[in-house]
Amino acid sequence: MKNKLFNPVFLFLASLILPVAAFEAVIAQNTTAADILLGLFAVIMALIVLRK
Amino acid sequence: MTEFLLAATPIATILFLMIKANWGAARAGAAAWFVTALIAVFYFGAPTDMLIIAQAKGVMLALYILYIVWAALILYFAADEAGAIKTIGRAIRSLTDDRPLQLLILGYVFASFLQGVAGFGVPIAVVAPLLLGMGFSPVLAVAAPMIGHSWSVLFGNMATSFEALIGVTGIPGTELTHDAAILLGLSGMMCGAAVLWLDGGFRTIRRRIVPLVLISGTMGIAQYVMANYGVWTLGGLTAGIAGLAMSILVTRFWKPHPDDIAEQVEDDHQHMPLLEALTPYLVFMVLVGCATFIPAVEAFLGHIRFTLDFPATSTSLGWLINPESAKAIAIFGHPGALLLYTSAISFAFFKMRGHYDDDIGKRIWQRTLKSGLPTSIGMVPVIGLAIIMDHAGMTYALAEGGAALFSGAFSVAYPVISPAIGALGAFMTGSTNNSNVVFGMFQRHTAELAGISTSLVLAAQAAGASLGSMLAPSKILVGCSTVGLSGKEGPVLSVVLKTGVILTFLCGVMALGMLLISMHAGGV
Repeated sequence: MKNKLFNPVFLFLASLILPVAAFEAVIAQNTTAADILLGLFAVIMALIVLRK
Repeated sequence: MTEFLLAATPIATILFLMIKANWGAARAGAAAWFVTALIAVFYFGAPTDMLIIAQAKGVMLALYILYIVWAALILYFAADEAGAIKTIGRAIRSLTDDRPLQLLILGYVFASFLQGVAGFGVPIAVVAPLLLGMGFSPVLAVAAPMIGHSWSVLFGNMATSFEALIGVTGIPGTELTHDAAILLGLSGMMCGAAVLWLDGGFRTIRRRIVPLVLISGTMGIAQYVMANYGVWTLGGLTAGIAGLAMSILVTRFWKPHPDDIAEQVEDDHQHMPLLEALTPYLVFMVLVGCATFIPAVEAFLGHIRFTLDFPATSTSLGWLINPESAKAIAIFGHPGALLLYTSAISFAFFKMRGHYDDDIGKRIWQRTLKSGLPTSIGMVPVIGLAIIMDHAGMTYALAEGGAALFSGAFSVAYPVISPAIGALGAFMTGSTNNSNVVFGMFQRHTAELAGISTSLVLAAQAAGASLGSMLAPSKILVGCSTVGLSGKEGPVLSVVLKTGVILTFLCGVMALGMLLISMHAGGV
């Protein structure tokens, strides 16, 4: 599980997809989905900080 | 003052983590992203919608840059596996035995030429591995082209960032070219001197002052002439070609100092004719030429574009960002696509000539993945935090704080800080173009309020933004990925930061000198 979370391909793709998905949610005026997706993006940023 | 300090905190964080704590750009960028988001939301009043829009813009810009990075890596490894890189290095060595002059020609002249042709980090991605292959240290291999190409960013790559400055300020280009070309020409000489300085300090500059003045003078004059005759779109390219021609001429009569003769590197590859080794780069130039100068080809390749349209957004403090579209990615006409076509043609060519072993495709892909992934992870947070700073008004607060120091009686000294603001914009947004867009009007207003030459201040902004591109973390990531320094970008940032600060300050002093001369002559 830990290996999967810190996998560079996963981190890279997630950091690309999540902000665009959150933006699409903003355009669709789905505030809850947008906030959850932004939160998930923040988790990805935290994983990048923790990744050595 | 609080605004200024808080706005500076993300920059201080990223610099501290990379230089002092020795973190890689990806980790430092992600940590600074949190700092930026918290300050933007809790002090500058940015709503979460704004964070999302800014981050989505960051992804689009990252995709634009990464397209080039991945394609440049594939091209480099395809050429390297065939032995072409070693052949080119050997050719430069045979041009002159003088090691610092080799560094000057590749890290300064050739990098400037590539900036004229392609831009977007291509000069660093191409030159850094060449220098590494010639025996220069990895840090020097990245730092030299980063510093060497920076002066030609404004008029390079079809002068897109100069056009942006014209567009945003509404001042005709013909009123800006004189001051901008002089400042950049002089700064170019400083960049060349800095590249030599990296290799051996002031003694190295002193010993090569004649080639330096001849080469940088030729490039500066070529750029000035092109810019002032209205063809500034070709200013960087012409300067690069003139510089290469002068370099070849200079090496005909230049005798190296005995202390600086390049070491002979072991030759473990089969010999390849130079023209064959240069094939990838010649093909690339032809493709760029066709895609740029033949309207039918340009229109055909640019037909399919990928972009996003972003709505207006504002902070609770009233800082407004207008609606805009992301920089469109022409799937088949993007510089990255041209690099991919070049890679495919070069791969087929080298394969036909028998320069590859078995399993070559797998090896090229594995090397590309190993270098490209760490760079790619770092790109999104670094670009994202810069755009969040811009959208929350933090970048503007930084510039305003700097400009406030030069109000009232000190206003005449404003040209000293003007390039620093341009450089700050380029550092934060990773682009000279964006710096000119963000700070162009601000600089114009400040110059008008201070009662000093608007064209000179805008030229200083443009020159500073051009020089500041050497500090862009995204470019450092690109360079480090090609020489095996991914995750260890701190030492490179440390070198280019010191050099960049000095060069930007010198540019400001030159701008002040030009202002004083014009005032003395009654030009204001």
